[in-house]
Amino acid sequence: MSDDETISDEHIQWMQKALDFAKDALTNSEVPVGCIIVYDNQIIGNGRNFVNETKNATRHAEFVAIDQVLDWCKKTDCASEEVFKNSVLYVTVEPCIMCAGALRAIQIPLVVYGCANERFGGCGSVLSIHSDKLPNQGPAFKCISGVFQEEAVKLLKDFYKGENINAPDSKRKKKL
Amino acid sequence: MMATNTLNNWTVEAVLEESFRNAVILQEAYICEVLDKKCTSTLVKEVPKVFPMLQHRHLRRVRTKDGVMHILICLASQVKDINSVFELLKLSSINIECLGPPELHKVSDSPPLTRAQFIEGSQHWPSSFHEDKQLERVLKGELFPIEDLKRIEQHMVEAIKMAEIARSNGYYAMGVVVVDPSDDEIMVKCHSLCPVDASNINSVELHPLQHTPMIAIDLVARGQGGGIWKYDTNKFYCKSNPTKAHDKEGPYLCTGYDVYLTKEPCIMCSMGLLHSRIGRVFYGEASKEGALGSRYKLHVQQGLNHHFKVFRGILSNKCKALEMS
Ligand SMILES: [Zn+2]
Ligand SMILES: [Zn+2]
Repeated sequence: MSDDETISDEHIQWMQKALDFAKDALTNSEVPVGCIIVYDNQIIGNGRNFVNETKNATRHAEFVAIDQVLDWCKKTDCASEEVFKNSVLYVTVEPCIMCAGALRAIQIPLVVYGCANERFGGCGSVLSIHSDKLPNQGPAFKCISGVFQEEAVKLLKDFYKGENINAPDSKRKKKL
Repeated sequence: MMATNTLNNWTVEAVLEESFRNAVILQEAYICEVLDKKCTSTLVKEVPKVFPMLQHRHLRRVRTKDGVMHILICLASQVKDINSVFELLKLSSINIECLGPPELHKVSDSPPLTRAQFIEGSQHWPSSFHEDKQLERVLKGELFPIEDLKRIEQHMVEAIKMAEIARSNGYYAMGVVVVDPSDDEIMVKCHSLCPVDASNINSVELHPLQHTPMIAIDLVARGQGGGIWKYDTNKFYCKSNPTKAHDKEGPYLCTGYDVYLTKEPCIMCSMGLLHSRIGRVFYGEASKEGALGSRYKLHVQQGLNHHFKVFRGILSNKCKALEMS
């Protein structure tokens, strides 16, 4: 899943920030996933899951962060395609199939993530949207996995505590 | 009334798992003639102890054809060569005197999922089969009663109208309609916001992820006091506060809803519909990288926790024509 690139200090430093957003999601009863987008050595977008608050099941951390980058581009009058093409996305959990498709659409070159997403993962776990041949969807992107994996898993476990992760969603108790 | 799959000039097709249409894959196995039929019950009990075929439980052990009885001993892959068959049987209490010499024979490799696969496989060796009556009707094209097909057509007409509005405003001709099938009420109507010619448009106004199905999902949320994206909603239709939706759980607001798309959605949008727990998807024209039948079959993808039904071909000629004109 990850390439042979070693995990640099830089990646560790940014992933720490993404973890903070995941923790914020947990405090707000959202699935604890955090994400930041780094461009030119600064965070220009960050996000966490906003699924319940927006009643929109597609408001994953990646989408929230991407929308922030689009706003940032508007404010700074930058061309968003150029910004995305030169950014790195850090997310605590492997992007799902939908988000992997979105990341191709914005042409991000590199995604660094924490733990695998066994249920919905689009970067190798369920499908390999990051690397499949999909010329109309946008270019393939590289993945580096396993950065703060244990921390990311622990947050998910805290969220699903007392729930049977394998039960269908309708049968699971919502954590309030 | 009989269910059908055609109305006027179009035919609806259920997008099914590949495995239902697959040809039967065959495997080599060793069979022996049963020379003394009095041994049959002992053989049927003892042979599986020597050669269990746990992955091939669908295969029957015994076949009688034209008065000649054969017993399936083992898969060819279970023994080193033909000589090992009797060597191993001799180690058990089986009296090999009642068996003819082992012969190689073809058997089906996996259990039949459909009657067609059952018939094809049984030409080689009999197997057990549990027929799924509903699936058989779908495979025969008995999909919907004619009244349902008329309703499906009506909703696709609405989606095509949205696509035409998009085209006349310089956007890609794609339209989406979300329907609550319990009372046939339209929840959302929207179209593409992606300009065909982006060269004279300020790129900051373009949103790379606002594909039409994603807009539709957001509008369903908006109707419930949620939603996130800002666009000129006068362009679209969005039913506010549908009372029936109040008992829906969490963000899974598309639970039980149908969505009509003039074109097959991409992988991102298909997974967005899955996350929203869409009930059924109807689309007109397939697209090369589409994820509900063409490039992927996300709605029946192994490992995902929600599956849904997909039908394509609805007013396909009209949907196809949208792009050409
Ligand atoms: Zn996602
Ligand atoms: Zn799409």
